[in-house]
Amino acid sequence: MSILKVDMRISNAAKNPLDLSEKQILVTGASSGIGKATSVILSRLGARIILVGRNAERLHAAHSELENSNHIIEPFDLSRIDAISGWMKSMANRHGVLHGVVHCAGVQQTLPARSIRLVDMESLFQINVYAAIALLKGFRQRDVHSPQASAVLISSVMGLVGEACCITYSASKGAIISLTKSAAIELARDGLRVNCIASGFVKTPMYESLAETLTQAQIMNIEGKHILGIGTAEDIANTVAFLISDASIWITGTTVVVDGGYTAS
Amino acid sequence: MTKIELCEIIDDVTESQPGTVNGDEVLTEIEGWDSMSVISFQSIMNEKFGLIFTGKQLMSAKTVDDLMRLVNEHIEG
Repeated sequence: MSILKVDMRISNAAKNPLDLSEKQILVTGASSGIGKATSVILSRLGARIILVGRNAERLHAAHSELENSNHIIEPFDLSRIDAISGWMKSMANRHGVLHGVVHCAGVQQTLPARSIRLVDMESLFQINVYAAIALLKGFRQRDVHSPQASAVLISSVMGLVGEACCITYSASKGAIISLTKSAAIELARDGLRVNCIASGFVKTPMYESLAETLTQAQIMNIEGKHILGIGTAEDIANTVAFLISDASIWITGTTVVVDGGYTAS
Repeated sequence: MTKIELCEIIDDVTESQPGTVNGDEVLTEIEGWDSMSVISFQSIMNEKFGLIFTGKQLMSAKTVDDLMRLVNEHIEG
């Protein structure tokens, strides 16, 4: 363990380890679902949030639900993969360094093998995987992050276990779990921790639109696999808060499963 | 959408030879019409026509004619 980390532990000994005051956290997908819930909870813990999403109007609506009013709206289209690094650098110049990045933006896809085309795979991987990698690439730049910083990626139980019609989605979420490990190893030298959360199904607009396409029997099947019932976006956001905060200072490269027991059986 | 177009889509999602479905069939009697083809059908309808069908709606259609009515109601609606 580095001396820096030990010093940090001593200086933070009297502090609540979940306290995020004086920390600036970038949250993608911040206008709804897990991203919005994460922004709200991190703001309650004192963080200044940079809310990222495509639609400025929806980001402003999410901003109004946050604690305090010092947060920043940063509209950006994450499908512009090669522009992400430069955008993060410019953002750090304008607003100061980041202490954390949470990648909540994601796309769900339900397709049987017979219907999968390259365009489907590319559109899914662009946001779920390529944007995640580009965010880590941008975050690791010297002037972009604080000396000790944390990145949290949102994966899914579909990256751990299988389900029909989820080949592409499982592949993208499994990729997040795998890349988290290599990124943690490579970026530790930059002072970054990288972790991910394998989320079960939680009640978000994304889940609601998925549920609309399913039959009642399929919905009951999914919900029945969650021993503790379907979760909420806040259930995931609470774990994000832990992984972003100093409470998890000795955790990197791991996948925290938050699934109401979905993968227990 | 015409009935011929609908039959072509059903041929596609059930992986049948073009021209297999003629439009008089009961859906469950079409070989390959199952939960997977229903999801493929939803995907095609959404992508090509911007129509979103719930699983419950599609399950309520018993025949190709029922499905034709459902699709046209969505297009007109």
